[in-house]
This record gives sequence, structure tokens and C-alpha cells, in this order.
Amino acid sequence: MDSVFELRGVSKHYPCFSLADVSFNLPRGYIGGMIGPNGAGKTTIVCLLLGLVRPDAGLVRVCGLDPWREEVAVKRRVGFVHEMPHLWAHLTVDAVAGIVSRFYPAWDQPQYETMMREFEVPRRKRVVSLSRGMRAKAALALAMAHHAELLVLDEPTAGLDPIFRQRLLDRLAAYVSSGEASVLLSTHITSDLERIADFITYVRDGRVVFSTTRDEIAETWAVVKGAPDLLKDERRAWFAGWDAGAHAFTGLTRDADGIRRRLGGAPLVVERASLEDIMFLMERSC
Amino acid sequence: MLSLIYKDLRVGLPFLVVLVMMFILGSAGAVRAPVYFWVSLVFAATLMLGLSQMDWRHGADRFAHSLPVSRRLVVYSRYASALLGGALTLAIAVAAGLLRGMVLDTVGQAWPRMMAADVALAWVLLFTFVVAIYLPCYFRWGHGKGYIIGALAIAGGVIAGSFIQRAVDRVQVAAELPRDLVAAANRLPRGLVVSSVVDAAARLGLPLTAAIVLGLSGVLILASSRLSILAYRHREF
Repeated sequence: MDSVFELRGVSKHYPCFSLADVSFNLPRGYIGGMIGPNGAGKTTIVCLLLGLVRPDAGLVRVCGLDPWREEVAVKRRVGFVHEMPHLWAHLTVDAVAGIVSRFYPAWDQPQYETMMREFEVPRRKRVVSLSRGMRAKAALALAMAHHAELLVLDEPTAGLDPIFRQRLLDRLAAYVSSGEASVLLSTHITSDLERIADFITYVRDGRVVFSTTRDEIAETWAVVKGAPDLLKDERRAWFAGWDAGAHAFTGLTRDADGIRRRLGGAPLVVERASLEDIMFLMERSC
Repeated sequence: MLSLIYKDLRVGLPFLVVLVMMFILGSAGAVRAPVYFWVSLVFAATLMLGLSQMDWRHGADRFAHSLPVSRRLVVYSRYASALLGGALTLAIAVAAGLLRGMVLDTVGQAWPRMMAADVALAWVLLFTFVVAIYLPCYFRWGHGKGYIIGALAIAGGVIAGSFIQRAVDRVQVAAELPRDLVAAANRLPRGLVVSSVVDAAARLGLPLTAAIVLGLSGVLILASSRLSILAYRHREF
């Protein structure tokens, strides 16, 4: 399958943080989700894809191009929304669009206007007077109006109300429906990814824990619940993550049947693990 | 590149208000001529700083750098915008001088010294010096840290200039008046660069001095922009 971007063995070292041996890709025409706790390295990965940061080692390709060496060609194909949508605060949204549109030969003014109407963004208001959610909407419209092959959205839904979030997710699903465009969505709101992401990448401490399809995660990961005395010290190693309370324990596993066998008929509840379960339990037991 | 210059002009539009104020200040003679020289110079430098500050503020520089444009062009366009801002400020200052000379203050006299051609050439050289020092610092370290380092470097240049001037004055023949006194008598702004350019214009003639000053400015800007490109090539956001 043709990948819209690919990272292979990528490392980036900072004094207090390192991204180590990161490898994953996103097939063209799909929505990829990137999850992980704060400081895991998600934004660094986004910056690598945009050529804002240079990798110390490894290979980064976006639309088959090196984002550091071929920055203009890559940025023309990519639409980007940062977690804090930074625009020139003293300008109106339309003035910002007037600036941004000049950089993209494929800028689609009717598309921009349609989205602004749909997102209900007041175009003549100064950016500084917009709420965070409104800024995010404006930034999304700017990113989507030049028919980017890859949309990179870093925490775009933070600060948005649930109704608009749903509309946005529908918009993104429609955006990739042609099969030519792709979306990488980095977010803490895992329920959004469960709704629309085709691929999920989990990043923790600068490493990729897993990168696979949403269906595979649903099929393989399970949450096991049982009495707290069942979770003795040596048994904790059976789980990828666990949380022990006074009345019950919760364990995360890819081998629910194996756990059942090992615990030999002890009463257990086995459920499908949500992305939130996976994130929470992995972080909890760190 | 034109898109980037347009962006700078659009983002820096609020500065036009200050430019108008500067014109009023100059043409009304609200400040003494030598002070007006320095006010206009500081304003032109502020215009350049303001543009980079507006990109940097709220992290908009990351957004600006996600736009499809090469780093080399980002550097060239920022120099072009800075020089354009400088040219505009100088034009306003000259226009204010002209208005003041023609109508308000010195009817029948020559052009007031605040922005006479030789003084304006000194202004160009000083402004070029500020641009050539600050922009490589900005491109290497960003607006925050780059501003501090650039300001220190410019202050260092000013201090070095004043030391050189004192040394020059000391070796002057006793009968000759020190340059500062000559400057004050002629209502000229003080400083090594101004007195040197005015001297050169008196001795070599204005056209040759203009050629030398503009050539020197060009070389300074060229060297500075090369340095900025080198610094910016490896900058990360």
C-alpha cells in the first residue's frame, strides 16, 4: 500500500527528551490517530513530518519526499493545525486567509468560504477576540482549503464542543473519502479516534509502543477484571498494564484466554479494551 | 518571496500609525533636529523588531514556518521587509524635514540639518548596521534570545564607536575643535558615523560619498544575509 508518510528508525535527541527508533507509516487515503501522554513525543513527530525539526537518525518521508531537504514541496502538500492555533492575533480571520492563500497554488476560496460558514466562524473578527475553539475552527478551515494531501492535526479538537467535534470528524471522514487525502490526528480524546481512525499509533516516552489498525486493537486487546487478591506480584507481569483497587483489579492483556487458563477458573470479567483503557492502564502501571 | 513581503506588510500595518505620528512630530518641530534623527532611526529598528516579534508572539512563527516557502526566501524577504521599512521611515523623516524647511521653521534657508542628504546617508549606514547585526541573531536564536543578543551586539558597536571617536578627537590638532562641538554647532546628531559621513561629503562631494555609503551598506547586508542563511538552515522549531 502506498504510504502518505513513513518514519523509519527515526531518532531525535534533546537534553531532556529523546525520540528513539520511531517507525510507523500511514497508507494513503486513511485516517491515522496518534495517542500518548503529554511529553510522549507526539508533537516532535508532527514537527519531523513538517520539516520543522531535523532527525538525528533514520528516514522521514512525506508524500515520498524528505521534509527537511524538500521543505517547500512537502509543505505545499501538507495542511497543519497546531495544538494552540497560532495566527496573527491582531488580524481578522479573513486577513489571515488573505496571507495564507498566497502561499498555496491550490487554494480554494469557495471551499474556504463554505467551511467558514459551516464552522460558523466570524470572519471579520480579530483572531485575538476569538475563543480557543473558534481559533481551532479557523485554523482547520485554513488547513483544509488548499486540498492538502496530508492533514496533520495536533490536538485539534481540544476546546471544541462535542457537537462541533462530531461535525469535524464527519468532515475529516469526508475529506479522505476520495482516497487521495489522508489525515494524521494527534489527540488525547481517544473516543474521537475510535470513531474515525483507521490506524492507531501509541507513543510513550519517545517510543512507539504499537502502530496498527483500529480493528486489530479491538480484536487483540482486552481488559480483565477480577478480585484484587488474584493480582499477586508475580502475576502483574502477565499484564501489559494493570490497576489494583480495594475491591477489584483491572489488567490489560493481548491474551485474555491465556490469563483465564492461568488463573484456573477464578471468576473474571473480560471486556474489549478501549483506547482509553489501553492508555490509562499502560500509564498507571509504569 | 512577494507573498512573504506581503505578509510582513499586512502584519506590520499597525505600525503605520506610529509612522504618521513620527511625521507629525518631525514636521511640527516638536523635538530638536539631532534627537529627531535618532528617534527616526530607533523607529525604523523597532519596525524591523516588531515584524519578527509579531511572528514570534503567541508562537505564530511556527505557523509561519509551516507555510510552503524555503528558508532562504524567508531570510531574504525579512531583509527586504526591514529595508523597505527603513526606506519608508527615512522617506517620512525626509518629508517631515522638507515640510519643516519649506513652510514652518526656516523659510528661505537651506534644508534643515535633521535630514539633509549627508545626514540621511549617515542614517542609512547606521540603519544598515542595526539590520546587519540583529537579523542574523534573530535567525539563529529566534526573537526572544536573538533580540537580547542582537541588542547587546548593537550596544557593543555603539560603545566601540564612541571610544573610537574619543581616540580620533584626542589626536586631532589642538587648534581644531572636537567633532562633537562642531556637530553641536551645526545642529548635527552626535556620533562617529554621522561626523565621518558629513566630513566625507564635505571633502569628497555628495555623489562619491553616497556611492561609498551605499556600497558599504550593500556589502554589510549581503554578508549579514549570508550569515543569516547559514544560521537559519539548521534552526528547528
